[in-house]
Amino acid sequence: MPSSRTAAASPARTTAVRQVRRVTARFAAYGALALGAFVMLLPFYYMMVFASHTNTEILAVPPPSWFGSHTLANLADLLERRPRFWHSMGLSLWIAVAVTGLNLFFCSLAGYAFAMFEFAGKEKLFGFIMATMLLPAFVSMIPTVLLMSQLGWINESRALIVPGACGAVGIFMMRQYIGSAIPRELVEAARMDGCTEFSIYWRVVLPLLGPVLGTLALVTFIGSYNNFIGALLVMRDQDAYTLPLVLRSLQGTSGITWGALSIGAAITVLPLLVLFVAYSRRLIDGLTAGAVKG
Amino acid sequence: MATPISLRNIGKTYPGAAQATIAGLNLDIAGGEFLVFVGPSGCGKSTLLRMIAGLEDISAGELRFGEQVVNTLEPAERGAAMVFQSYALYPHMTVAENLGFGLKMAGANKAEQEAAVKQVAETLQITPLLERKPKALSGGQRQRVAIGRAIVRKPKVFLFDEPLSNLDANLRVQMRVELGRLHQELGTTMVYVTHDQVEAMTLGQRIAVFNAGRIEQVGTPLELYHRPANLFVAEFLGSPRMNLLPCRYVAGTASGNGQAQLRVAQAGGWAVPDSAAPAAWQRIRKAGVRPEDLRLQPAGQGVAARVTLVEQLGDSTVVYAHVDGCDNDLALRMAGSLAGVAAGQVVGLGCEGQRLVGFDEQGRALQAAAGAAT
Repeated sequence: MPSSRTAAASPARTTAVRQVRRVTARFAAYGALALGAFVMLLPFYYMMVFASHTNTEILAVPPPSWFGSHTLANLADLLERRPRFWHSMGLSLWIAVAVTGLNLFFCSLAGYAFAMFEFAGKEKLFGFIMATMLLPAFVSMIPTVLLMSQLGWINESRALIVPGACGAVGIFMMRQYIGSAIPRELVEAARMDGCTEFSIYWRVVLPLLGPVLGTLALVTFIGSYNNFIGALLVMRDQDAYTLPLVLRSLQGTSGITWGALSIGAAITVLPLLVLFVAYSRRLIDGLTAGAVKG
Repeated sequence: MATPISLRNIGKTYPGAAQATIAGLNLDIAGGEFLVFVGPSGCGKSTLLRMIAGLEDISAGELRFGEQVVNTLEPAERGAAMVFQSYALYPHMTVAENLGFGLKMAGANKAEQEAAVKQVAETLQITPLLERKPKALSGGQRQRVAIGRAIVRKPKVFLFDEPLSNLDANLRVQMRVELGRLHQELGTTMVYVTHDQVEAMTLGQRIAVFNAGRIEQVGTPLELYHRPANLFVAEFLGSPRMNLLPCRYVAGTASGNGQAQLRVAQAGGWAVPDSAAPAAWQRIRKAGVRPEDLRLQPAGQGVAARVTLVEQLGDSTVVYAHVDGCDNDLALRMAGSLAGVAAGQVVGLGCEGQRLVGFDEQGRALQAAAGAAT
């Protein structure tokens, strides 16, 4: 038979044990998150640090862990090696903006049609479009290059813009969002008000797609801006290089100019950083939009 | 001049459906009339309204607005305007933009739009709301804007698809009055869909009762209430619903005392003068009596019943009574408060013969009686 002292201590001991476990679990969770964040941010940090050091300093053991004073010199070196760097940046931005704009238009139009209309073969067509997501990207590389070559679009921005103008992921996102967030009665009210079908999409539905358009725009812009393989296949002249190709071209057979490469990479990443800081909240909202009934 | 609507052999079959949702439907709606479609959920009333609007294709038959066949015309080309159950206001537009949107699509210039919007806003007393967005409006305000959006286009026909069902009870009563006033002011043909019989009875100049894609009866509210064409209409309208008593007609020569009787199950019956009962009553199987047409009598008179519940509502009293042979308790409604009646008490039930509706084996109404049943 347990003593009265042991019986009285048990509940308090259980509470204390529970508290210790809770605190330990919280520390472990935060610790894991901090470690993950550190691992993901470390390359970016070192990219920025290396952009301000000479090649010799970068290749030293251990490498520098704080900013140096060679940023401008590295920039001058980059522009000397690649005088068309700013042109390439403009080209990258133009292609990313064009692809994003076209994606927003075509994907929203297709998503609206799939969400709001019934027509013969609808589900089969949608299934076919979704099936394209299952194909590995490299499967379409050779046909795309051959097609761009036949069209005479090699070294032209439209060789990257047109193939990327509409994607299955965007259509899927739009269909899901429009199906759940846009009431059919709104479309019918517009029909009663005399709108044409395109007018209903343009004047009534599109203005209500802010959250999902923002998400798709961010995802598409980032993907298009960072597109390396696609650009590698169709942009062969240095004048037509996008930024990923310019950075790759700095890694020559005679050695890598790490300082110029790092400053080039840092400048390349800047637009994305600005976008992310400005719109990260919208990205998260857009990804979870429709998940919970409002 | 208000536009009449004519429906001839209208049918609707959805692709892949085994049977038609609506088949061979005929209906004439007079110009300027306020006609209500009423019926249970899934009876086809909203489908028919949407076919009139042009939002659903017509599978068979002909729909006319006046002399014009409109089967293939777009909704805006028909001159119809619709008020939806969920209001369907454009959330990204202000109230003024919502009101003027139809005119904008019709090609009206800015000045015309502004003038029309201003006039409608004054009529509906929503002028202070013109710069607000729908999310900043209450339910009643949104409903007015939805009605205003329909009015501003001066349509030939107004269509309402359960517009009050999202409002609370008080607001519903208020909006009902406003809709009635609006109809009087505009004089336009209006077709109104509801599942609420109170709305149907108070708003409609005529009511069409729907059941499983068919019209069971069309008539004025009081015609449908006092002279339902069949059991479905009898039970659908009225609260408490019409009392239905299984009964048979016994002619005076066959009854024990030489007087004709309506024998109600095993609970006695009502004496009916032979001259008052039409010949059709030979086929009577059920007698329908409205709660307010039944009256309490001392036990031993009329139909025997035992009181099961007394509800004092203040302005009236509802007494529920069990009659042997009847599946459900009967309901009696009397004006004012009633004393001296309690549950368990045995009473007699009488009714006015003219108010009694006889139904045959198929549930169809028989010709009305001419005299009193006691």
